[in-house]
Amino acid sequence: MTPSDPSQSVYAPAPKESSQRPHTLSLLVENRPGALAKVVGFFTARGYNIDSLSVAETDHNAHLSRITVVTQSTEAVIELIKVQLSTLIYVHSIRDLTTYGPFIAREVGLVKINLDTLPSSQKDEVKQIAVAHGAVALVTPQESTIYQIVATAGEVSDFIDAMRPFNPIDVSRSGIAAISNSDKPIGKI
Amino acid sequence: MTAQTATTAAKPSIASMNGAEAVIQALTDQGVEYIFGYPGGAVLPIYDAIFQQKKIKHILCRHEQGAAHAAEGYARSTGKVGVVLVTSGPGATNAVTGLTDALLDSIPLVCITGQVPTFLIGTDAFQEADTTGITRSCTKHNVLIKDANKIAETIHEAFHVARTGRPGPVVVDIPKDLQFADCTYTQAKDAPRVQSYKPKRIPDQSAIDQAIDLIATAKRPVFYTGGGIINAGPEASELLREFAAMTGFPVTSTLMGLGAFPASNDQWLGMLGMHGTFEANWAMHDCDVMINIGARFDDRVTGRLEAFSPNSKKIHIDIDPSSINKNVRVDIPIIADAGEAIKALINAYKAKNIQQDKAALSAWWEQINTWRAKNCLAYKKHDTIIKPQYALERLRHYCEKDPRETFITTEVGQHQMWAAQFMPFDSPNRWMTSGGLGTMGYGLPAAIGTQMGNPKGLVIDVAGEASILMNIQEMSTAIQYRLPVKIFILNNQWMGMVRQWQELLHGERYSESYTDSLPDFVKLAEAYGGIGLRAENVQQLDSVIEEMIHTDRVTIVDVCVDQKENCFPMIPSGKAHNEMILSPDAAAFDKTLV
Repeated sequence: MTPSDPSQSVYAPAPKESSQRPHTLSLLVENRPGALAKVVGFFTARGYNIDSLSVAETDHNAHLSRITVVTQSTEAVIELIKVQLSTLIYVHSIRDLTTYGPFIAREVGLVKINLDTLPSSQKDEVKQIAVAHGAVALVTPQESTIYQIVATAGEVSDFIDAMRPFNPIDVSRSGIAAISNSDKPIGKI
Repeated sequence: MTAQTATTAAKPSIASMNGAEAVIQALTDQGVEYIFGYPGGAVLPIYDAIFQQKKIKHILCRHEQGAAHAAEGYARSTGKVGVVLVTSGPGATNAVTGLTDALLDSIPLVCITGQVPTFLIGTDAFQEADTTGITRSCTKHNVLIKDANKIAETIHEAFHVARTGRPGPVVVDIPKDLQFADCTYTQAKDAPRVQSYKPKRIPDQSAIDQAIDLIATAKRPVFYTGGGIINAGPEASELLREFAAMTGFPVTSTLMGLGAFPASNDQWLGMLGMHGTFEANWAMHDCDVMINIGARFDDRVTGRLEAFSPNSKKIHIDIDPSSINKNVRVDIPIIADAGEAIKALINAYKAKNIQQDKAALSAWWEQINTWRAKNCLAYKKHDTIIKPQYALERLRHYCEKDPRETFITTEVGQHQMWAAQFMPFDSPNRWMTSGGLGTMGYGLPAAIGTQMGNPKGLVIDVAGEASILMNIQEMSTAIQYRLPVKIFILNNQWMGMVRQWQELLHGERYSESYTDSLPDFVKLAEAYGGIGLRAENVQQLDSVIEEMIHTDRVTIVDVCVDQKENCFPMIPSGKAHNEMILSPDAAAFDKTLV
């Protein structure tokens, strides 16, 4: 008998693994100190992972912020996450965009490259890649160039991977913002 | 301090007090009688405000954990919100166990913590701790106040959150500079409510109708009741009795729900779960309709989930939507206050004039009676050695003879399970035990809080000799406030439940579960100024209990019990309800497996 045998534990055996997929959750929360910490702390406290997170105030007068979280787990755990998140005092409403219907998810990626350090052939290559991915070069007073891409998370990743051989100085991503195609708003007070 | 009464409510914006006075005014307006606390640097202005008023009495505990458990005991025995006041840093961290205990057992607490001054937060100041960070996952809600004008409204909100919905602990962290600052006081009725918090109390009628349709078809029904009924107030317990009488269904309860249904009633099956009765667990396993009211399918109750009540349709009434389908999939979820839900069920049951299948029900009761005939709580008596079960039977006898209302608190372990099995409860709010968190050291401070809230009650902490040492310092509190709390120690010199698991599941390797060098509990009681008594054999037991019942001071009774006795029945973990073992099976339990 191995030490992990369930009959030796004070707890029941662990459930068998079942398939997981990412879910994009959209939350409307009171914009109060600690509101974001409570939502994020909820994930860490219960051992759930956050793959992507974005947050900003979306309605200044009503003091409401929108939090977009991408998390990956089994369907049963996702259900649990949603209902438990909804019991947090500052959470107004929550929508699982992944199961609700079609939705748009976009992310901003920023890649900073110093073109002057590259041989001229590579400079052209960088510019071509940027055009091909739909990224635009932002003008900066410094020598380096910042490319901005607004696209799906996968497309942002592809662009960053394509730029990787040219030694970018820095890379930054916003985390995805998402919104349902539905005509109905996420929730009213 | 300015006595601001309801008549001056029309001018709430007049700055007339400082933050500390606002704290005490808000507590007064919330109807608080007692604060359980411990002073320190970051709450001195609040203690100054306490000194200058007479409406609220402060109970000085000897450790912040004790203060939190005392507030829990007060809350559970009175149905009111318990209030805790502690200082920053170690004051707050010491309270964390009590807060977590209250969270898991859904006990309404408001805990006010002092914090270092606003301008020092984040500098690792003396006695600074990130209290809202630390308590985020062990409170229902917590708030760090940053503006003295918000002190009153935040405290009013804290009481609202603590007592409504699924009750729980709320921490309000108040920096010291705000306690000194002038502020405006906001009356409770003017305090803005958090718009995003709207617990649902009233059930959906369609769900009630579905539930009644299912109940009408039941041939082998069972009520599985829990602490939600206790939290819903005494009326909910009355309604449960009414509904049970109307339907004739058997009733079992979780550890937390004991007392909601009278143990003296014929329909009572006893507690269910890991150390529940044979009849309760088999009824749960074999039922066709399960009506869960205010219980949460805890792992101590369900046993192995795949084998849990495999052939039943399940109705689940809970005020907390996140408890629905958390562990067990149910057929009819009803999100509501337990009392409101039972009331709606009774009305629908009457309106539809439901007639149960009498023949099926009587066959079901016949089956239940064969399980009852197992006499699962039987134990071998001894002529001289005190069996722990026997000690509790004698305690029960003397409690029943006493005209006072009996309140039982416990520590955690074997004695707790025996108390649940052998002490009968006929009313709610008489049983205070740490169920969810399983906190050793809970019972004595909880008994202190219970006695404060019920000065005429007979309050007994059924304890183990290991658990009682975890908060023994509260003896001093009991002496200071002249609380005649009885501490009934079932002393077997072992951490009994640990020993039991080691015997049955770890090859009888008793690693660190024996307590050497125990104190002399009689002398210990006397050292605190209390009374110490000891029973070493069966012959001494009755007179010692009788003496204990009538003492006027805190009393420790050291009952020297059989060291080898185990707690049965028992569902070994990973097993189902119908695989539970009884005391005679234990000898045959295959220890060679390990």
